[in-house]
Amino acid sequence: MMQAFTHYLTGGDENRFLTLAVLFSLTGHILLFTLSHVLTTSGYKPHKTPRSIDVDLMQTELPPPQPSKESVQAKSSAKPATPSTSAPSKKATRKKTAKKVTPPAAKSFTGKRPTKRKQRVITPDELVQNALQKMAKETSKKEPLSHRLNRLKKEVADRKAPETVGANDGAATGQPTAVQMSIKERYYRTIEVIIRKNWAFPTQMASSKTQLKTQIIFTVMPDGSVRDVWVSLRSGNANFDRSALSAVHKSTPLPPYPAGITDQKIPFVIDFDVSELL
Amino acid sequence: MKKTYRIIVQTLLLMAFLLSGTPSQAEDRVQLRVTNPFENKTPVAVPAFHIAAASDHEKELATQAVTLLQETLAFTGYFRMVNPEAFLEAPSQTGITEQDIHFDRWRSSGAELLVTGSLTVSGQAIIGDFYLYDIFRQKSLFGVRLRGAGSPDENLRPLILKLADKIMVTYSGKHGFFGSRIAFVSKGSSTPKEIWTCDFDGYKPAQLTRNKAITLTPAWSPDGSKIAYTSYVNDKPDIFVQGAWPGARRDIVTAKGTTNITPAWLPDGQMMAASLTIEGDQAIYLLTQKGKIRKRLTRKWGKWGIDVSPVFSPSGDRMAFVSKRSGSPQIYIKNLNNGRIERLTFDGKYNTSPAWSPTGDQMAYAGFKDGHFDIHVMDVRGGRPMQLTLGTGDNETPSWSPDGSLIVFSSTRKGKSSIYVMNAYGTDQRQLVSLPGEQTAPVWSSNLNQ
Repeated sequence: MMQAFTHYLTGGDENRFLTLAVLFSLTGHILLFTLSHVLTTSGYKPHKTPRSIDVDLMQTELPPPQPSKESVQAKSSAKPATPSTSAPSKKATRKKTAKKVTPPAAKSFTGKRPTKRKQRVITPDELVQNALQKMAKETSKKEPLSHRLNRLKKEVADRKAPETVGANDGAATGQPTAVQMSIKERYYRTIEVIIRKNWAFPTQMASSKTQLKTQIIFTVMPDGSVRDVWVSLRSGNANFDRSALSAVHKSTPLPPYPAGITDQKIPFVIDFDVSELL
Repeated sequence: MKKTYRIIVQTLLLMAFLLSGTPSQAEDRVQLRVTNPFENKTPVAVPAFHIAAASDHEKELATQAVTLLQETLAFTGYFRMVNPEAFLEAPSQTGITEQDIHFDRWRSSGAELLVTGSLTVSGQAIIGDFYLYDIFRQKSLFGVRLRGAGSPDENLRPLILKLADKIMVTYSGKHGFFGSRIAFVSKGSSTPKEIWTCDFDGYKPAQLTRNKAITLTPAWSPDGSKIAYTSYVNDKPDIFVQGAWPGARRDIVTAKGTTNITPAWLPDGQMMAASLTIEGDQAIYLLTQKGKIRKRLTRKWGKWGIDVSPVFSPSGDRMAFVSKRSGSPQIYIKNLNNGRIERLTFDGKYNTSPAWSPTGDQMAYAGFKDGHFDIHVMDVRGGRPMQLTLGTGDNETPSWSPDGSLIVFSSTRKGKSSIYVMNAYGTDQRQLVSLPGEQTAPVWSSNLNQ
């Protein structure tokens, strides 16, 4: 058959013209495809904060490696001595602080300095004191960091366990089964919830007249790291766009794919909007 | 001819490769939707400022500066201060400029924005360098050097308020209200009601009038330089005006009628309106600042026609006022171009103290229902009012911040009346001043010196 094809192309003079036409058309198409490919990929990265988000999963969840004693004193506030006050229990503290109402900013008429107000500010002396106390606690108690690591590991293991059961039957055939679909669906919902919880925006800034809507595009890798985050639709309110972008960045890394999802990457598009104002 | 064949095969292969290798945007993206943010404030980190020389005085100033900045930003209702215990880096030690900031360390603090600063006190001047960073976009939003000449203790507050305004402009695109003031009526235990003023956050309350007679209903001139009010200096209510600083001279505006009350300024700052009884009934008149009557603004409405409390829309084309023409006090709006008057409030039997929002589309007022006054807000085109206070004693005389984000009002929630502030949706209600005696009738000025 190939020979017939060759013969047809290289055949008699009457076919020359046709051959040339086919060649011309082919090169034209190739040019068009290559061009469009090059153009779309180069126009595909308008965001300015590229790969820095691909940090280790433990980074946001856990404090940095054990600092030396000197640095503990220098910035004792950073030291996670008790789980309730430190960064790792991020969600818990976030919830707490979100509910906190600004203390009544009552002023005394003697015109005292605003330091009188209730906002808690730590003085350097207190910092040193705190640090010393925390160090004392640490030496007496077990290292909470390893504790937490173990707990986290256990949590992850617990979470994965039930899903691996139903996951294998679909993965083998390569065709998504109903179980796989629901695993995906659940993973998407989880991502939605995480991002919403990390979204902070004062809704009173949105005037009731204008509808604010922004769209963020990003790609989630199997390990939960997030790539290529950018605003694909701006709201017209730069602060609103910033808050949505921060919500995605704050949520990274996302949980890794649960067993059963075999994709190499999952691209997302999220609409952020404010509704039912007033 | 083999060559041609090979070329064609190659091109076909290339095409197949290109088609299969088109980038990911061709794939379907998973679509999610997130409606309404979980948190209603932007978390901000304000770590301690760097100080050049570590004198005790400088340390004290730097601490004050951080506290004041935190309080001022929190006061707007837009920001939440992140607990310093979550900070993994101390810019006061490691540096405040962009190359010194490790954004990845700040990510875990929960903050989205970071303010760093350094203060230098040299003799009679204070110099501050400040930066605002977007932690997640990992970039500086501004860097600014602010100077205050004169006593560092006195210049710290204006300097930090200037910084707060710079942050607000960067954050929201609009100026804050950190140059605004609030006037109110205060009655001591043995002294009559007089007018006082304080800063937007309740700072430095000071007595403005010393009339030794009942003085009521302060009204700021649009530029914030003067305050008009009603006072019984001459044993009957007359209207006066005086400069908005203690010890300023008092000038009479009008004493023409038997009662002259509730003055208001037109947005141009030239003309005023007030409720006078010069033709037998209490009606609203347009006046010059010298008290010359230009026009009667509300017509005679029988013996029930009491019209008081005029207030003008920001553009000056409409006037809201309280009238008893329908039997009970209600708020009406008069279109000054065509003279048409429409009733705004229908909910409840007693609605007073209208306050037009600076954005022009909302009206705040005090409405009496179930035995108490409460602050309400409604669209100036009508519709259903939104009640902002509930079950906290009497809440009266609302007034908007210059940017329309906050409302100041008086409340008897702790027994005696005092001044409170809340955001325009009724949340974050807190006491503004704590003075002996009773405070009522707060009014917010425009944003001055900006």
